[in-house]
Amino acid sequence: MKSKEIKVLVLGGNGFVGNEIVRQLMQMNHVTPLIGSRTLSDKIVQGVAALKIDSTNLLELKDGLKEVDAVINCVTGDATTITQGAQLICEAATLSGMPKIIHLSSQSVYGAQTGVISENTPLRDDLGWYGHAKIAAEYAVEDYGKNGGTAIILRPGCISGKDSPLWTERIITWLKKGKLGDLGASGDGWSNIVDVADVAQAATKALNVSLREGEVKIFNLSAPDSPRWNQYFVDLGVSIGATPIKRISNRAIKLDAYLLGIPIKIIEHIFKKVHIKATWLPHGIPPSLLKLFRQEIKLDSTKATTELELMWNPYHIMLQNQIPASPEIPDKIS
Amino acid sequence: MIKSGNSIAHNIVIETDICIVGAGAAGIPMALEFEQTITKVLLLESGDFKEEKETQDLYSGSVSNKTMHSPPDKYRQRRFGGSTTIWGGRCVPFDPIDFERRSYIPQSGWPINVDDLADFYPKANSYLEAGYYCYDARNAFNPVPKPMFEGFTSSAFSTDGIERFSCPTDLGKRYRNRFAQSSNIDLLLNANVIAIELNNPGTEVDFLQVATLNGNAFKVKAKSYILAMGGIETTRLMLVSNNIHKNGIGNHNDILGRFYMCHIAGNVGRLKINGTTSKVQHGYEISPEGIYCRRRIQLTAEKQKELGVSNMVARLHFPKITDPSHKSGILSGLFMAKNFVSYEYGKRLKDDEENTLKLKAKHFLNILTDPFNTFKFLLHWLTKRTLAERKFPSVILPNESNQFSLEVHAEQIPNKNSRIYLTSEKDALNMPKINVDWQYLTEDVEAVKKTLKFFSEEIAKDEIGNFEFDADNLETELMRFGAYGGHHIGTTRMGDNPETSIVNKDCRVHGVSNLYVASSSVFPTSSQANPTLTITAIALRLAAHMKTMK
Repeated sequence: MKSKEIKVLVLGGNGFVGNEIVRQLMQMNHVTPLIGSRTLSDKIVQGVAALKIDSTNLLELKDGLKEVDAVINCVTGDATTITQGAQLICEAATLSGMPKIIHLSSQSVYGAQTGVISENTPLRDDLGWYGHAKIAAEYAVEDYGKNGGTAIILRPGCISGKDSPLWTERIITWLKKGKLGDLGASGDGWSNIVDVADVAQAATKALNVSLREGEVKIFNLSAPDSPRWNQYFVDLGVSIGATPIKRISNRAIKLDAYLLGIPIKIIEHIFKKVHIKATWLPHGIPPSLLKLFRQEIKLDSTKATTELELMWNPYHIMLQNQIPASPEIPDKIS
Repeated sequence: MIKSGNSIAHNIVIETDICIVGAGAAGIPMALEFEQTITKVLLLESGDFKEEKETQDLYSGSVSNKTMHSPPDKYRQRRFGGSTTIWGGRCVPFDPIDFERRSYIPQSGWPINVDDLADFYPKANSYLEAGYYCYDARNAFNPVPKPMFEGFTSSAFSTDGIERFSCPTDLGKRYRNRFAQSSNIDLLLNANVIAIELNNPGTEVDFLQVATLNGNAFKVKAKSYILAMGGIETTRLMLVSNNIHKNGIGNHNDILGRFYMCHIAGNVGRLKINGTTSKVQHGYEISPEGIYCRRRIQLTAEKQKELGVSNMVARLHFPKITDPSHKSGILSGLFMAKNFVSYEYGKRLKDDEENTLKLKAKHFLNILTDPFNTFKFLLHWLTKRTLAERKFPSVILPNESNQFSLEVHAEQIPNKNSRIYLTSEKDALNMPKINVDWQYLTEDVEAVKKTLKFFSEEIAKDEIGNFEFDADNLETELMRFGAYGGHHIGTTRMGDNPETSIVNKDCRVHGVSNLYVASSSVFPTSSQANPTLTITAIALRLAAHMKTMK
């Protein structure tokens, strides 16, 4: 058997995005993937070596990064995990021969800005703790470059896929319960939906990008044909049979978000403090999502298309990829 | 960005790439097509976000025959969103035959065909929030529903065509946020275009004169100008702008303002279907995307050609509302509430019968003796229409007897004598007002008569029931309320020949290199379909055309 040429550590390789990245790395002849994860569950991709690594633990990171050619950071969690994790990964990489870092960021670093957003658009820290943490994490990666390291930052929009907890699973739950549907003007923002397969494709292709010493490149990731939120909700709802799709007024969705969403968040927070999982709680629509559903922000992914040579999954394929037992998507959607 | 014309410095010249006049079913989608481009678009709107009497009065004018056409300030709204602020929401595409030159219909034939709109109808459907672009009941629903009439085998009539209903969406309210957030599309409210100024040979628009009701005035200079002010107002502005072209812009052959069409409409006859009520699908069906849809009865294109008749559709309708013998508490309730219904929808409830105390008492008795159905109806109306954002489109009664009248909506044959023209009376901005002289032809009524007679034969042939109507009295029934309100078609007709039309197939005014029209006024024929969906589609086609220009 031919020996593999480069070794790639996928931090967060046990999660939704990390899993897909590992799967795609396994298809590459010259790559040996290695999973780094805080918990080693049965979700781990079979046939791939896995290490227990907490990304907020420098020692574990240093061990994991030994003899690694590249590290892909798709760890997520609370603000500390995101920010401190990125800082420590960069620190450990600096101490371990400066491997290339591929860092998964988010469109939330652009904050509440509107219009067509390219990678040159200045960041804006006005979206709460998540955006703030993601910006701080990017700064750590930029500093890694300033210290002579090479890195690629990927800024995906909303990542969909049948295991996507945020942009597929909970949306499907809300569609089935009639809490989401066609929102009219309240759902008129661009979804910037991107298939997890395309995010993984970008991460794997980033491995082959030649970078000068100290160079950090940034790519937006949003399917060029990603629709506005209303279209996404209607098409997904029709695809899963949550029909007829309901038209939901601005008044109704606000009532849901503020009267139900906020109290649920508070209860969740209290239970978390006392280390009790509150999975039985209903999913209220958080008010922050209402702002996102209206936000006229369109990520420009031209750079990823041209420089990474991404072959995007068309929208109707992306929809099919989200449905657990895939019924046929009506032709009218495409 | 959104601004008011009153905030613009007096007498300045605003420069832009494309200036669109009128923010309604054509202007709003067209402007939004330039989102995320480098093209600078200025959308001028006479009104504000809400109706204002002084602005609405700018629409006032006269009609030659008040029983045949509504006053010009009715069915039209001079404000952001235009007449989509009051429309009923019915969406139907034109049929392929509508675009054809038909030997039996003089002046028929478009310089484009239905395929030229194929890319734009689905997008128009989306802007108008009418769901997926599918107008065939056999594909629109899941599972496939029952046929409209069980046992109806006629190959000459289609009953699978559907109409889809928008919310009805007020485009101003729906898309206001996009304008507010756009960096290259400016919306200017309270800005009335009072003249189109051409260069001296009359081959190009030099600038637009704009005025506000508060006395401000300024100019707009653009590379291209698009008039999207509706089927009457666009024509009025072109007639008024007669400095260079003495009879109005592009009007070298007395075509501008002529061939004015609406639709021929009315409730006719009595259709009785045999057997149980389950054999008839008479009401609204809901598509998977949540859109209210309804079937229509329509003669096929082949049979239309064979019979030499213009296009028309018929929907199943309830009995005559003013006649209390229907015993329906719901209909009597509607009759009693007619004065609380808006002009646009109340008109056809009023009929022409004398509103006596005795008549009112009979209707009141109907309400008292049919309380359960009346309450059920009111509750449904409250929850599914009054309070709902996607509104139940119209009154549908439970089918208890398999008896209906047919609600006819028919094409009007182009007629040069049917026209709008300027009068000597002026509005608050010193612009001449218009007079509407709507006329129909005997052939319009004859076409409906032929189609209905043939329908009657086809129903009888299958022995599923019978359809009877008073052929001698058909003209009276169809003209009881005159022209179908709100559909203003044909006064800047599209064609290849400048001698018989005003705009070419790209909606550009013949002989004027940078002036376009996006309105139902460019339709050379009126189809059976309500015009809004096609207005939006044709506007989107024009926007695509503008994008290809340097």
